[in-house]
Amino acid sequence: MPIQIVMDHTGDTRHEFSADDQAGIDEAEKRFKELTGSGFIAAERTGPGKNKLVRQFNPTAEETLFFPHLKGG
Amino acid sequence: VDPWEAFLLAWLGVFILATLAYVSGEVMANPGLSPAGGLGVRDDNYATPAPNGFYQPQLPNPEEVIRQAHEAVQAQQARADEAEQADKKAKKLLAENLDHTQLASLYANGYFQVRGNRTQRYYRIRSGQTGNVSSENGKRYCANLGVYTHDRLCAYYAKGDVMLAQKIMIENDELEFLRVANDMGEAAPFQPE
Repeated sequence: MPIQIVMDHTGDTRHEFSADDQAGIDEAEKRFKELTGSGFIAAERTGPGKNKLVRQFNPTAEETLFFPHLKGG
Repeated sequence: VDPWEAFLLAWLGVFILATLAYVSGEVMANPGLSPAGGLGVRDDNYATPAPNGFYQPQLPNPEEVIRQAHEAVQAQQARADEAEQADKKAKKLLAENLDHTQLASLYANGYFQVRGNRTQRYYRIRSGQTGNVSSENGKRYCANLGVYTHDRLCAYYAKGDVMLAQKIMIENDELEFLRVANDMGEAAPFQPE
């Protein structure tokens, strides 16, 4: 089941949706656009220890991670 | 007695008496004036005179002080528990996103190695949040996820989350990582493993 993982102050928050449920996909796409629009970076897991940055919502991605932009600290 | 000396002494006496009368009148007319704080300083701790006529500081209710301290300790404990839970979740997420070699290195050495997609240089990401990234050519970098408004930290991210974000950015957009990271000076160069 595809999952969207959003980093936050609790560690992360996970949102699962079914690839067969159009309403769930729509909601996931809306979440993707809201997060990337508000400055989060999206990265799909492509294999063990491998991720790639994405700018478009992919309903078939098994796991998409969202994290804020890094800043010099 | 010299008449002039008598005259001056009389005026000095009148001046002293007038000053004393003025000061006592001010204090009586304004009970809130603090004898300890000086004239003209309003101090509500001295607003009510004690039965003996002296102004005594009004201390807060001890039960209220204890209640407030108890609430502060509880809130601090809740924040510590929340941060501990966040750390656990972030460590799990980081472990899920490392390969076996990286994970083994993190447990054994306290760091894991990643390769920049642009320069093909290796970086070590040590367990930490600040200045925890170094490159094989001996540079140290600081790039964090904390969100600041003016000078106040308003969003906290656990250590594992920060390390994972550093890993993904170096492996996928190294130039952006180098652009935003602060150069923290020199680090010990290392041989890629």
